[in-house]
Amino acid sequence: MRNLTLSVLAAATMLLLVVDAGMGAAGDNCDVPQNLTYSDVELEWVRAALKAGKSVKVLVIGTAPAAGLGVRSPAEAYPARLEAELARRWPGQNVTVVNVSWPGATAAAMVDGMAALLAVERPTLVIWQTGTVDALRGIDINDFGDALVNGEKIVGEHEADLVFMNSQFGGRAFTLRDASPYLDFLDQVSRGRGVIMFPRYAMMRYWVDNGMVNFSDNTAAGQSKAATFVHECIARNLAEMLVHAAQ
Amino acid sequence: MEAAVSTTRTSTTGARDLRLDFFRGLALIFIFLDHIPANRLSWLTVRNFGFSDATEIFVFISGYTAVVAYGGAMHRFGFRRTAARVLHRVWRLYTAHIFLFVVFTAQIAYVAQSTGNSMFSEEMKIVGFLNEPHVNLVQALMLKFRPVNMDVLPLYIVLLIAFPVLLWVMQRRVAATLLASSSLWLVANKAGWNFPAYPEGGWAFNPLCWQLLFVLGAGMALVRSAPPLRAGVIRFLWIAAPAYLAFSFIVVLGWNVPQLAALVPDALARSMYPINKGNLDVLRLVHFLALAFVVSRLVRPSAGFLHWRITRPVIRAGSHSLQVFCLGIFLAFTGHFILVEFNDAFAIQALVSVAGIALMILTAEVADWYKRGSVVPVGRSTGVETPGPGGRL
Repeated sequence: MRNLTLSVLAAATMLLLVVDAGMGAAGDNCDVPQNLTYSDVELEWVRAALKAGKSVKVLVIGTAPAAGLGVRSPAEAYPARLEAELARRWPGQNVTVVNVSWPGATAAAMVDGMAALLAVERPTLVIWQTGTVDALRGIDINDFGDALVNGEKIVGEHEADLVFMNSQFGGRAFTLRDASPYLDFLDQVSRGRGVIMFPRYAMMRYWVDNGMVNFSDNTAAGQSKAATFVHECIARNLAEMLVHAAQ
Repeated sequence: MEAAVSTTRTSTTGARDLRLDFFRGLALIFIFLDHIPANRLSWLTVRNFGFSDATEIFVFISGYTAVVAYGGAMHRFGFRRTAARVLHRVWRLYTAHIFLFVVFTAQIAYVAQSTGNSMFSEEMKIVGFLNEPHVNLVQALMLKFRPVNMDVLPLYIVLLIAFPVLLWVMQRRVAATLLASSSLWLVANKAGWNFPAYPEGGWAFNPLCWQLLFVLGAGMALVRSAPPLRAGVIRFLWIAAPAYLAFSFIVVLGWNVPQLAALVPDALARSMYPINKGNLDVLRLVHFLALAFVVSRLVRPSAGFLHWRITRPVIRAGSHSLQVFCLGIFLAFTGHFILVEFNDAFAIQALVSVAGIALMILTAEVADWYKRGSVVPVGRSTGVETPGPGGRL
C-alpha cells in the first residue's frame, strides 16, 4: 500500500520533470521555449512599409520610464536595444523606436490619450505594455478587457499594427495582488482579436527558473547585471518575433 | 471504533455519498495548488483540461451538501434554528477571513519596507498605497478588502449567509428558484453588477453570478430522490457532454501548444474570448455541468476506489471541508510567499505543494479524530448534536 503511494508519487514527479525539461531548450543565453515566441499573426502595416522602403516607426507605450528601470543608461533599456536589433535585422531600412511612458496609467487611462498620441506620432507599429497597473490596483477586470479592445480599435484606425506586452515577472508586488487574472485576460483578448502578445512575464519566469538571471542578488552590480540581461533579451526576442511576423 | 461510528452515521443520517466528499476533497486540493501562482503542479488540476476549474466543483458540491446537511433540519426544527446553525458556520469562516487579513497586513508591511531590484520600483510604488492598515481593516471587515487570492472565501461566506432563505424557498419552489437564479446570473453578466471591492473594482468571484452554481447544486440535492431522466435525454447528454469536454480540452491545450490553437477558427475565438471567470462565463458553466454529468454517471456511489486507502484522506478532507478549506487558503498564501521570497525552482514548488497537501490531510485527520471523540452514542441521540451535518458541510 505504502509502496503504491510512493510509486504513484514518484511517477507523477518524474512525469512533471520530463514535461518541465521538454518545455525549454537550454541553449543560447536569451533563448526561450519555442511556444513562447510562436505566432501566426501577421504585421501587415510593417510588412507594407518594409516592402515600399518606407521608414518603420515603432511606438512603445507603457508605464515604465523611457530611461528604463534598473539599467545604467537609456541606451540599455529595451526600446533602445530593440531599435538596434531591428536595424541589424532589417539592414538598409530606416527604423526608429520611440518610447512614451505614462507612469501609473491603467489601460483605460492610456486608451484615453491614445488617439491623440497616435495622430502626432504616426507609428507603423504600436507595442502596448499594459496590465501591471490594472492588476496591482485591482481594476475591474471587465473594464480592463474593454480598454484593451478599445485600444486595439484605435490603433487599427490609425493604420498601425499592434503588439501587446504583459507584466514583468519577479517583483514582490505580485505577492500582494494576483496578476494571473489580468495576464489571462490579456492573453485571451489577444487570442480573440488576433493580436500578437509578447509574453514578457513567461519569458522572465523562464529565465529565472533556469538560472539565466538572478533577481535575489541585491548588490548594485548584481541588480544592474540582472536588469541589463532582461532588457537585452527582451529586445532580442521581441525583434525576432516582429521580424518573423512581418515577413 | 471507526466502524462503529460509520454504522451510527448510516443508521441515523442515511447512506453517505462518498463521491461528494471525495470530489470536494479533491477540489480543495486543486484550489490550494491553483492558488500558488504559476505553480507547475497546478498542471495536474482540472483547469488545464477544460474551461472550468476546482472552484466550480467546490461551489456546486457545497450547495449540494448544504441541502443534505440542513434540509432535514429545516423541516424538523424550522427556519430560525437552522439559520442559526448555518450562521454559526458562517462566523467560523468570517473569523478565518479576518485571520488571513491580519497575516496579509504583516506581509504588506514586509513588502513595503523591502528593497528589491529597481526594475520593479514602479510596481512597488503602486502597492505602496496598500500600506494603510487602519483603512484596510475596516474594508476587510466589510469583505471589501481581501488578501491576495482569497476570493473564494468571501464568496463562500456570502453564499452561506443567503443559504437559509434560499433553502426555505427552494423546499417550496425549486423550479421558480432556479429560474430566478439563472436570471440573476444573466442580468449580472450583462449589466455588470457586482459586489464592490476596495479600493476599486469588484469581487473577483462575482457572487451574483456564482450563486447560480450553488443553487444548481442545492437544487440537484433537493431532487435527488426524484425519478431519473428520460432515456432519450440521457442518450443525448452522453453525446453532447463528452463532445463539449473534448472541444474544451483541445482549446485549453492550445493555450500552451500554439499549433493546436491555430485549429480554432477566428470567428469562434472572437466570440469565446475572453472567458470570464469572475462572472461564471457560460463556457465554464456548461463545461462543469458536462463534467459533472459524465463523472456522476461513470462513478457510481458504490465505486470501489472510494474505499481504497489512498482515497480515504481525500474523502476525509472533503468531509471536513470547512477547516481544510480555510487552511488551504492560508497555506496557498504562505506557499506563494515562500516561493517568491526564497526560491521558485520546481523542486521547491513541489515541496511546498506536497507539504501543503500533507498538512491539509493531517488537519482533516485531526478534525475527524476530534469529532469522533465527541460523538453521542446511539440510543442517547437527541437529534440536535449528531456527527453528520457538522462534518458534511
